[in-house]
Amino acid sequence: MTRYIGRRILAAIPVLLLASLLVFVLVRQFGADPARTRCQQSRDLKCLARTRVQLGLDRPLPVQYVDFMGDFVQGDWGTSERTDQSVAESIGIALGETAQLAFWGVAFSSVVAISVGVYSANKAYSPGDYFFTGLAFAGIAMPTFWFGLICINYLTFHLKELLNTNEVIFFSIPNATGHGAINGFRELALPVLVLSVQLVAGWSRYQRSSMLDELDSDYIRTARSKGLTRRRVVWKHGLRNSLGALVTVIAIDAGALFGGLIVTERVFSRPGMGTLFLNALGNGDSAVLIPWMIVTGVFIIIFNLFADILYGVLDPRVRVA
Amino acid sequence: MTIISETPTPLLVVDDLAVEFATSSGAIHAVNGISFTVAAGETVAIVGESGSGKSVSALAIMGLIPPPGHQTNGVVRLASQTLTDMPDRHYRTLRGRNIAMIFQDPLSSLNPAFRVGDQIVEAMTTHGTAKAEARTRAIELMESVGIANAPRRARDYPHQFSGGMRQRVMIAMAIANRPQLLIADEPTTALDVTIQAQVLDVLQAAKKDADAALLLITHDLGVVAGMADRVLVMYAGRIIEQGSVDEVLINPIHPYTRGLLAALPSLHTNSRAPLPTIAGVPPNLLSDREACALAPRCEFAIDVCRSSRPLLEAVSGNQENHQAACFRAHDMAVLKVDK
Repeated sequence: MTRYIGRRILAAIPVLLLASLLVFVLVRQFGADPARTRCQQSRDLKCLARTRVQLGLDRPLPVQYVDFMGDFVQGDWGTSERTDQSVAESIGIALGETAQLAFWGVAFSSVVAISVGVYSANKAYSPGDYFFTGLAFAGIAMPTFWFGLICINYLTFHLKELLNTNEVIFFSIPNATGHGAINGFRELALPVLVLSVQLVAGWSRYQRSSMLDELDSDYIRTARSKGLTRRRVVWKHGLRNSLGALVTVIAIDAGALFGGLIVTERVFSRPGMGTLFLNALGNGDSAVLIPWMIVTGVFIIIFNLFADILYGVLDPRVRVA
Repeated sequence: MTIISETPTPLLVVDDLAVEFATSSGAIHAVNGISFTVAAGETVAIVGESGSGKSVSALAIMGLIPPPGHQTNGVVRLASQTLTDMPDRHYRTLRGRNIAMIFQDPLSSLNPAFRVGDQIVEAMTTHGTAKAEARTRAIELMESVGIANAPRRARDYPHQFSGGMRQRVMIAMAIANRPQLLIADEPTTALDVTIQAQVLDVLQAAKKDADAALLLITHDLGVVAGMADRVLVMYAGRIIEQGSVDEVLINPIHPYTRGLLAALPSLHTNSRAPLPTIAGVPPNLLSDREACALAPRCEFAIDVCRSSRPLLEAVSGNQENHQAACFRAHDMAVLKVDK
């Protein structure tokens, strides 16, 4: 297993190199001019020329790329072209914020999606199953920004009026006052809910169909013929085999969340990776954009590897010797 | 239509069992009122081609007819208990303990995600055996069905076993609680020919070991000859002939049984001549017409075969336990099988 993981990590290196090359060339060639950004969009030719030399932009693109990657792998990610802040530091902070949201969203959504999916498969074509099917389609169809605003409107302001208190129950923006688990919950509850609606909607459908397949299989009949209760047959024998498909989807989705929470973070004004990306894009800040894209790529690759490992844990047939 | 059995109280009584499958194009009559008994310790074989209702009958005895199927008529009794309409929480305690089943494909019938030892253990713990005791017994069972190195093999997964070994695991699992009745649904069909005989020997030994009766479902008449005491021949959801193995295989009455036997190659068959087959196809089970189901395929069919349905009746001049459902049974008895 260790050798397998090691091999997979080694195999990820060329993928990442290729991705970084693409990102670097595309952003540098077609993105905003870093020198102009640094000179506050002025047309001061002296400033532009000086900055070009300073940043090494006067050299050929391949040389710039090798230089950039050399610094990048050593942890020197440069500074923002707008704010002069350390890029590594801002990405680190943003990652922490996004990771919180992604972790709780994925944890909550997997539990709900698995429960709903197993229930729906077990009671396929029952009123309960149709209810969850309808809910899932509504969840998939609902735009995040719209549902986010609805949540903010009702679960903060209206709920406050309804309970007739002065204090809001759930924060709609990150709250600077006070820390601790309770404040953390009040702060994360709404964005996690909004994120989960999307995730649960998709994942529960996956779980339902893979569970339906498993419930049809011969080993389920064998388990029943041994005298096991239906509940045990479903939750022990069926679940274990049906999880493989969902775990793969969860891991891939979770990896993508590190770069893909743009709308949710925007609606709830959270300073995560999505917000960082939007700001960098708006500012034409290629010094942030390039490392940002490489980091999100790394996460997708890590979580894909994670999916393969979990798949092997669940299904001994794909376990690597 | 109850059959007189040698023993006074048969272990299993199936009386007028009917099973239908509801489909969008109507009800499929998979089993149409079959009755038979199995005495304690006896081996009864059910033969018939695919779709004749053999497996569905077995699943009905287990109370595990898959949806959209359901038992529409008849009663199944095991020892003194009526299984039909028994609440599942009660039925469950009999499954795996009093009646156990061995399925056709041992690879798909074992859970791929659990160790085989644990799957055998589970068959016992679910009926109240202590875990440690069940573990010891699981190893013994695996040894008894001829799995070498059982303590280590118990920790392996089904995909690490060969087909024959997997079926041995299934047999070990089925006899774990020493059931009174063992149902084997085509236990060797999915296996290599070279392995089949070994697995049948194991099954025979396991049956003796557990002191169980065996209901053996097969389409292999060679298996019937080697294993069974009595045989039931099914066609289109009905028993069309039954009797002791010797009677039915040596003096078959029903044209269908004769057709099955004629289709069996032997060492004396001219290997260049095509094997005889039964012309035509099995009937559509959507309609249950008042006629002999074989009539369209039967060279002996007369008008009455097409207008009413023959009942299972004792064959005259033969032993009382040999029965056939054929209007021309008397003529057929005279007409000897050309060997």
